[in-house]
Amino acid sequence: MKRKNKVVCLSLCIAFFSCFLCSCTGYTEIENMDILTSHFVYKNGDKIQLGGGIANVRSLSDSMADKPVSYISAQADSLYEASKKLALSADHKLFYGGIRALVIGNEYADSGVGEFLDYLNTLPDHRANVSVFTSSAPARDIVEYKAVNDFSGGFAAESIVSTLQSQNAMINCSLSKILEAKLQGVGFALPDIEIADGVMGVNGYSVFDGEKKIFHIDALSGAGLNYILSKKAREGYMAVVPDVGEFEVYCEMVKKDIDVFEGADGRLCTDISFVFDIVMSVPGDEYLTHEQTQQIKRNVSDIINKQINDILNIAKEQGCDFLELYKAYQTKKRARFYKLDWKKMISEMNISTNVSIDKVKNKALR
Amino acid sequence: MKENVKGRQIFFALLSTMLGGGIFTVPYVASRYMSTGAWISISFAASIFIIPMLLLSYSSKKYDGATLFEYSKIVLGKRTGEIYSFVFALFYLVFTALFISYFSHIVCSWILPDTSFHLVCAFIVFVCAYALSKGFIATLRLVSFVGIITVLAVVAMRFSMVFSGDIRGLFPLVEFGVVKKGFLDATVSVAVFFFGTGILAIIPHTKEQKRGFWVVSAISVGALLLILVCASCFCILGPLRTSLYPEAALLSVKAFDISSVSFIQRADIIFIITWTLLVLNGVCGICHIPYVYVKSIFLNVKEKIKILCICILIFAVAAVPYDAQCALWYINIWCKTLGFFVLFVMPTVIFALSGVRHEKKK
Repeated sequence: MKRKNKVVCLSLCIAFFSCFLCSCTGYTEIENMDILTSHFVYKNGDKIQLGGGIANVRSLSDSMADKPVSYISAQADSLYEASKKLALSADHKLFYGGIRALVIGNEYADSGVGEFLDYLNTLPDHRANVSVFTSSAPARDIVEYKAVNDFSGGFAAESIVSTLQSQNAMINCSLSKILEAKLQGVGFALPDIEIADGVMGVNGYSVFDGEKKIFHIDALSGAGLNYILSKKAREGYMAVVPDVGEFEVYCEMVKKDIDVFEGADGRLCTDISFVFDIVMSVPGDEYLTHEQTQQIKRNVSDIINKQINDILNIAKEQGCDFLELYKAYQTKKRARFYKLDWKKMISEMNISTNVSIDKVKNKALR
Repeated sequence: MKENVKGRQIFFALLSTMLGGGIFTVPYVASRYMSTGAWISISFAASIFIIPMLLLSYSSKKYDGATLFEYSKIVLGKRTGEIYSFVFALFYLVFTALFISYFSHIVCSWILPDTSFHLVCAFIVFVCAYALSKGFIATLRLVSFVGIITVLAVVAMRFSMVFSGDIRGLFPLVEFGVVKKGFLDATVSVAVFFFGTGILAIIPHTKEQKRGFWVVSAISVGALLLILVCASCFCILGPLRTSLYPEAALLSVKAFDISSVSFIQRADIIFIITWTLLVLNGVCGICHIPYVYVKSIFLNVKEKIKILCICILIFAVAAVPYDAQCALWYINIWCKTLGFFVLFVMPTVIFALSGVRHEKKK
C-alpha cells in the first residue's frame, strides 16, 4: 500500500473512531457520582419521604471515618415529586447501581407499594437482585447504622439477611421476586428489620397481598414460612423428654415435596411433606434410650407440623398466596393458572401436611 | 475459491450465525407463543433447516469446489441460474443489513444509550468491510477461534443460571393446548434465526471436510444452546416475564444472583461481550454471500470498489428501520416471503435436477 494511501486510510480511521467514541463525553466517572448504598420510601403523615444513604467514598480510605454515609432525603405529596426533589437536592448525579437494600416503611407499605415498584423500574443501573425490607425504624437510623464490618445500614441489612439465608435460617426477598409476584397477582413476604438497643436485626416478615401489606408475622411464626419457601431450612428447638430433661435440637430439612393440584371437587389440594434430620448435643454423660429418641422425634415433628399448618392456615384465611404455592401448581398446569381465581382457590384449599424425622445425629443410645 | 476449509470452521461459522441472532431474542419470541414448551419450536425449526443444508452440502460435493452461484448456472441453465443467484445474494444482502440494524438498535437502547444508532451501524459495517478485505477463509478461521471462546462462555454462564435459579420455571415441559395454539407462529418466528446457515452455499467443498456431519452437528448444537438460553431465562425470570419483555435475555442476566457464583462477577458484561462477538462473527460470515456473488459477476472491477459498494448498500438498508421491533418485523417478513423460497425450494430443485444435468469438470 502506498504511503499516501496509508495516511489517508489512517486519517479516515481516526476520524471515524473519534465520532464513534463521542458517546464517551456523556460518561460520568463513578467517583463524581453519589453512590446510594440504601434507598428508602416512608410515609410521614400525608407526605411521601424518599431518600437513602450516600457512601462517602473519599472518607472510606480514612479507616471508616466518622461519617461514612451521608443521609439524603426529600419529602413531597407524591412519590414522583419526591423523586424529583431528591435528584435536585443531590450535589452529584445519583448512582443507583450500588444500592444494597431497599427499605419500605411499614406505613407506606400499608397504603400500597405499586407506585414505588414502578419507580424502581425506571431507575438506571438498578440491580434486580437487590434485597428489599420493611421497617418501622426511623429512616435515618437505618441509613446511618454502622455495624462492626459494614459501614452503612444498607450493607448491614443485606449482610444480616444474606448471613441468615446462608445458614438456612430465613428467606430473602429480592426486587426481582416482588416484580414476579406482582405480575402473577399473588402475595409475597418481605423481611422486616428493626433496630433494638442499637442493634439491627430481623423481627419477622411483612406479608403483602398484591401491593399492600396485610399483616406481620413474627420471627417465631416465620419458621413455617422458612420451611416452605427455602430450599434447605434449619431451625432450633427445645425438645422435652419426661423424667430426663430438655434437649436443644436442630432440624435440617433434607427433603421437601410440595404438590398443589385441583381435587375432584374443584378445590385446591395442597400436599406438603417434609423429611428432616435432627442434630442434637447430648449434655454431659446422659444417654438416651431408643424410646426416648423416638419421643424427641415425635415432639419435634409435632412442633414443625404445627408451624407449617399455622402458616398455611394463615394463607388460607387471608386468601393470599405468599408461600409461592402457585409455582408448584404451575409446574403442571401453567396455562390453566391464569384462568383461575387464585385468591378464591387459596381461601378454600384443603391442606395436608406430613413431617417425618429421618436421622438423629450426635446422639448416644443405650 | 479452492482453499481448504476445515469441518470445525464450518461448525463455528454456522453456530455463530445462529447464536448471534438468536441468543437475545429467541427466549422472548418462543416463550410468547409456547411458554415452557419453547424447546419444541426451537427443535423443530432446527430440524427443518437440516434438510436444505444437507442438500446444499451434497450439491456442493457434486460440483467439487464450486459455490452455489457457480453450479446453479450449470444445473438450472444460465439465465435461470443467474436470476436465482441474484435473488439469493440480494436476500442475504438485505438479511445482513436488517440483522445489523436490529443489533444496533438493541445496543443503542440497552448498552450505549448516548451513541448514535447510525454510528453503531457504521461501525459494524466497517468491521464487515475489514472481514471482506481479508477474505472468506481468513474470516472463517477467526470466526472459528472466537466461536470456541464465546460458546464456552455462553454454556458456562447459562448452566450457572439454570442451576442457581428456580428450576420449577422449566415445567411443565409440554402443555398440549398451548403447543397446539402457538406451535406454528413460534416455529416460524424462531426459524428466522437459522437463516444465517445459508453461508454454507459459499463454502467450498473438500473431501476431508465430512461436511454433512459438521452441518448436522452445528445446527443441533445451535438448537441445544438456544434451548439452554431459554431455560436460563425461565429459571431466573420465569416464563411469564420472559414472554412479556423483548429484552428478557438481558434482564435475566441482570437479575442473576452473581454472589452465588463467585467466578462470575458481572454476568451482564460477560453476556454483552459474548453476544457482541457472536453477532460480529455471524455478520462477518453472512456479508460474504453478496460479496462472492458480486465477485463472480464483476470480474474486472477492483476488489476495494466491490467491497465499498457492498458496504454502502448494507449500510443504506440497515439505517432504514426506526426501532428494534421494527427491524425484527422486517427480518421476519423478509425471511418468510423470500427466505423460504431461496433456502428451501431452490436447493431442493437444484438437488433434484443436478442428477439430470450434472457435468463433471474435466
